[in-house]
Amino acid sequence: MNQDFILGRLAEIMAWETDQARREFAWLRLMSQMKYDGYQDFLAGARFVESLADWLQQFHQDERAIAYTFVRSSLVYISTAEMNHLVELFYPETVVWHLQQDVARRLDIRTWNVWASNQSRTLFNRLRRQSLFIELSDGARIDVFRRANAGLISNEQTVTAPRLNDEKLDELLEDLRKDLDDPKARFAFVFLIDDFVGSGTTLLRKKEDGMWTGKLFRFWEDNEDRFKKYFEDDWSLCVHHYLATQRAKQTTAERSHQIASERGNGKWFSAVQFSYGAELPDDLPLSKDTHADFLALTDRYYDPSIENKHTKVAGTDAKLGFGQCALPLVLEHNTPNNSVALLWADTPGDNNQHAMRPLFRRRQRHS
Amino acid sequence: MENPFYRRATEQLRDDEAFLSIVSPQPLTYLLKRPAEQGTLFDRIVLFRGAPGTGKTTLARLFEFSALRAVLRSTGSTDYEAVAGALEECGAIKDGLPMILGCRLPMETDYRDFWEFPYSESLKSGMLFSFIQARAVLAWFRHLHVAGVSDSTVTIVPRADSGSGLETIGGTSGTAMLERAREVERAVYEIVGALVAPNEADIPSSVTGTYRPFDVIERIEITTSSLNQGKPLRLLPLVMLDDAHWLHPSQFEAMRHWLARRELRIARWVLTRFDILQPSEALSIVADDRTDRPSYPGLSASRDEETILLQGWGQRKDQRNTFRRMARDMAHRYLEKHSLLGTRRLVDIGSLLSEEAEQISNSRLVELAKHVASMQSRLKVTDARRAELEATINEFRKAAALTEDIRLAMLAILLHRYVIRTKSQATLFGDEDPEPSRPLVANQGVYEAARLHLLHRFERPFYFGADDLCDASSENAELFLQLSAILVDTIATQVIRSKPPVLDAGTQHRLLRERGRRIVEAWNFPYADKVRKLVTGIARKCVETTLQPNGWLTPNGYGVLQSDFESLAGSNSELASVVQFAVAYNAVLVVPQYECKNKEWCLLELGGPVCLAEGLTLKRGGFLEGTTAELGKMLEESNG
Amino acid sequence: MMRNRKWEPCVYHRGSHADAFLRDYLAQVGRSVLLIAGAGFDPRSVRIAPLFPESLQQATRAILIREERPNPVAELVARAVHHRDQLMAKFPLAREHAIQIFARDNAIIGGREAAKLMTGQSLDGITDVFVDMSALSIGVAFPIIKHFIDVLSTMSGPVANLHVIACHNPQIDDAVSSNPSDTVAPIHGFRGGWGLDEKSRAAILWMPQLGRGKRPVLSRIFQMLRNVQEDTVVCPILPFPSSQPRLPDELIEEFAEELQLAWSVDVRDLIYADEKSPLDLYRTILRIDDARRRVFASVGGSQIILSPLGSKALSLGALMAALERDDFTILHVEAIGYTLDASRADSVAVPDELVHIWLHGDAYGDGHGKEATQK
Repeated sequence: MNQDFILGRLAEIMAWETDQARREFAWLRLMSQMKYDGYQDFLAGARFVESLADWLQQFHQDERAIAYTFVRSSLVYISTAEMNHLVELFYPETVVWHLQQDVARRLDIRTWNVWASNQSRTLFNRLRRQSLFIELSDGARIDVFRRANAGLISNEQTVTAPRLNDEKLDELLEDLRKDLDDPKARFAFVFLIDDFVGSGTTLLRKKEDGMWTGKLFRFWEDNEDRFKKYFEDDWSLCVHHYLATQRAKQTTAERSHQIASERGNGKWFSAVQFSYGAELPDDLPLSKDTHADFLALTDRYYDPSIENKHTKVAGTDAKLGFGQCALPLVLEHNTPNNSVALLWADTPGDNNQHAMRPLFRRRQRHS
Repeated sequence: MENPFYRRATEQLRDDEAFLSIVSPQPLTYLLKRPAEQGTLFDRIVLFRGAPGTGKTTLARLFEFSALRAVLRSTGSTDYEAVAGALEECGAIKDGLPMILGCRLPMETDYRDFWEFPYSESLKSGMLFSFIQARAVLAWFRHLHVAGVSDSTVTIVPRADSGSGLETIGGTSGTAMLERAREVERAVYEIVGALVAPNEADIPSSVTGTYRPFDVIERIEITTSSLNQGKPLRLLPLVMLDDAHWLHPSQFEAMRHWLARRELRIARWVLTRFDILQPSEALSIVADDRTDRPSYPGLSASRDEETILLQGWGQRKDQRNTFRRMARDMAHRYLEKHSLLGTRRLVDIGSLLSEEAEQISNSRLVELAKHVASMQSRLKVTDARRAELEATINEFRKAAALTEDIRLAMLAILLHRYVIRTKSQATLFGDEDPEPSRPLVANQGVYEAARLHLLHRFERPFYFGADDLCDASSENAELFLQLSAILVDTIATQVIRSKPPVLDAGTQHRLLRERGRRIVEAWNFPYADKVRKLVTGIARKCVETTLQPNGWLTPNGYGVLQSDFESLAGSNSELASVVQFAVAYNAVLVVPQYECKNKEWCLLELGGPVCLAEGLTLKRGGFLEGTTAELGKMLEESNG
Repeated sequence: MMRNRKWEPCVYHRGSHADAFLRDYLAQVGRSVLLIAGAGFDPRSVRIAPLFPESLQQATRAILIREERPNPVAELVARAVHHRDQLMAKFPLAREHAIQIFARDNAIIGGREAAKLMTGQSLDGITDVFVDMSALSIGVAFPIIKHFIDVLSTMSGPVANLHVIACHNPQIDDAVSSNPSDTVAPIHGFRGGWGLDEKSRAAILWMPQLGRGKRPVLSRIFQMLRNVQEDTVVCPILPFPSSQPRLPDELIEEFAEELQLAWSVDVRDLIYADEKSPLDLYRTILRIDDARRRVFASVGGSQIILSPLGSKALSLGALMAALERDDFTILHVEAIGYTLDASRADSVAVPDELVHIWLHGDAYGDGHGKEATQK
């Protein structure tokens, strides 16, 4: 693809001198090829550099450098390959560890002895088969997960829709019993999987009226009556996110603790374990100390029409993204709404508001 | 947009055709014709010594069988005809047929390891020689395979007196010999690769010295050769041991004596880096390591060896012109491949780099004029005399008019020279406008010094045009590409921005100096910090001299007496190592045995990037006289 | 597809799990330990000592290796001495051994010397061998580990366990810069057929581990590879996940010229490896090797070349892959010296993370070194 034309225009938009243009061209060519052009919402002929040119033009000439510098040195973009890698890591690094702990617990041996005897290995294999993998959204890429673990995890252990029904569960249970040649077998592990958790709000939160909500809560409510039939008495629930912020990690732990103690025995999962494929560092969110100039732009070029009932759940406005998370984060299949709005918002600019142009257009998805 | 200049030269030149097109026949003829005519080139051990970038490996590659074939395939193309002619003069090809079956064995890995075995020196050498011979045989066959020759059509023509040796290499059949070589290679390799070397008793006898194909083979014959219209082709095997300096000095000595034996019939070349460590010093390492060093009686080095120094082929000016031609050619080919410039037919590096000098700004010009005027009055030079000097300047370069700033800078130099040359007269006769002892002329030296003065005083563009680019590359193709890359990138950027594709002098100058600084900063090799200290030390002294008002010398090198240099390894081993790596990585070029003022000097010429970074002339020959002791001091001083 | 790999599953721990495991494990009655560790300037030299219970410290046979390189910086020597003294105080039975990394003619001999040193060590009565790679260079550590694997897997009767530990801290890695020697060579014991005639037609795949400041060294290795096999394919390894989410992008930028031009890397050829998990890289390398082995089996074979120059955890993954497939080559440029940014090293903000891998022994079998095979 010939990028030269758009690069020439971009140099004009940015008013770069030749030396700077040369350096920036090199970087733009490199990163668009290696990463950014893979963004799923880009169209042929209007990929990263084109979107960047469009995005930068919404700012005043003297502010463009600030916006560009932000992209150049602060943006965190997780590519398809990187995301898929997090999916591939899930079984060997997380699932195996959980199962191994459980084998040790059940046989009363040390975890490091789990591979030493045939008895423990057999139990491990059985527990693996007794695990159910449920995606909380299509971001969980259960298809990639299945491919990466072909031969270890069967298709009858993965569920693509988060809502289970009896019919489906009956089918899965029947397969399990057949595979294990044990007419009484039930599932021992449930792994709920999602791609990203930014604020923790979607997963679990208390509404203003004091009622709990969120995906995890719904999973309890929807299936409460089924657990006994399909799952062993001391089954384990593990919630895994491929990517998480520190804030979400902390919030989730707190809320999980809170709901368990509020609702008491029998009204909530006896044990929930949370795990994360990769944790974003504490200092990733943009702050006045590190990004004062760019935050000023997020203020100035804001159109409140992007606010809706979802964005309002966890904050006042959406300048810094959902839940005021202020993330500089883009995932290849979508930009999280926890990222600063200036990255993803696309508005017509009615009512005398600024028409926000997205760099990485966001597809709405609330599942 | 692909800018092929970012690829390393060695990678670009992998295919034989591209490789051949940068080979120039002059050094070949210059260096090899005489020994070829005297019959020593393929008859005894030939030791080639040269600094990196002097074309050691290029030379060796040219004599590899596949390259010879490429030359022969391309006859008719004028490009290669000169090379083919030179190879014919050396006896490597004759009547359109290859005469030599050459292979190159890089000695960088594996071979030095033998020295670490806990065995006697003769056993270690025996194994090393077995390994080298097996690998040479395998490499010869690989070349033949590539040429489409099957093993079964290959036979060995043994030496008449080879006796039982023939059995040990597998007999005269090519297939058997190849099989045997593989076995030997495998067996020795297992010992080299073992974590801990096996006991001496457990070593198979096949690898301890009984395998001696070099002692047996006289010629290798291809019975029905497609290369020779189905007729037999008899080839002289040539083994080229490249980078043999990686061997332990003791191994090297042993190998040299082994290959120097007159009874061997195959041709054998040993190529090493030109080393600061002279043999005597290298041997002191051996003496320290152990006392039972074997001696090699009965060999006379001069009679049994041919030594070829790659440093000084022909006039250095010829080398430079050859390089300029080669580099422009290479640039042409790369620009053709450039996705943006190639398609626009912007492929002549010369026309993309403006050669038009840029004058300093008017305000600076006024400042300079004032400076020269006050200098004139301080030096008490009459206006008439000044006018005379100005006339001399006008004489110089009549055709190409000089810009005003250059004239003034040249004038300043001549004023100082005038004063020096009239000192004695003035005091004797009290003349107000004395005649100089020798007439003053504005020449190339004055012009160069003037431009350098302006560079340092006003950062007036000094490095521009394709010739400067070539000269700054120190005759090193890889460096040329590195320096060109940034210029080509900038040209492409200008094109994208709809600006003219020609780089002005100021931009070239700025980019080249930046690049030079970055290259020096990025040095990352053993002793790199000390090398930086050394070259910066030399460069600062050179700048100091360059900026002398009379511009008497514009040096970019440092000369010590050859004898002083030769004792360096003994007198200051750290400095010797520093210089060794400086040479290995092209920070300096060593010019040994340089005759000047009836003395024999060894010059340390600063490499192109250093000259660019520090603002020194790219012209050769100007050097500061000094001693290795002073160089040693530079290493002590902290860089300011 | 059922895999059958030596270290899948594997007993390994990292971070707090590793600390907990070591405390727990070493406190068991009956442990008798041979510890091989570096006594170097690296602050990680002394990291694991406190995890040994005091009684075990008294009884542990420790071999402290001092890697000697020409003209060391005085500051580094002082630090090394300090660490050595600390270790000697903890382990009264410790012996210090100096290993020359370079011969006088600058040839690399460290790996061979290390293997020689280990050959003399008796394993009588030893239940566990711990090799702490934290302060050892890979040119020394790899041959040592290989030596013990070789010895233990051919021993009869009760066999000692082999553990490797490494202390992962990217901030310390960044504070240490090495001055490379000018030789590209396989690590001793990891030649993997490199240079053999039978490999001359092999399809070479090089997997360099990209790291900050490693450009000159990796370029040198590549140049050497290209000279041997012009069609060398390069699949660079980038650290992901990483404690610094922009690190892969920064490395892509640092290696821009190599990726786009010299090495001609297709974006699909980038390999991601968890910065903290040796097993992740181990699995990836073997998966790639499996696929290529099939493809090139009848057309000259496949040759994998590894150059693990970055973090200790990742280099351990490369080591395990190379131990499993003995025809991998590990090409390396040994450091002729180090410089330490002392202020950075002393003000490291992130805690060290230990990685522990149980390479051989009880964990996998019947207590006699015979490994149980997975179903």
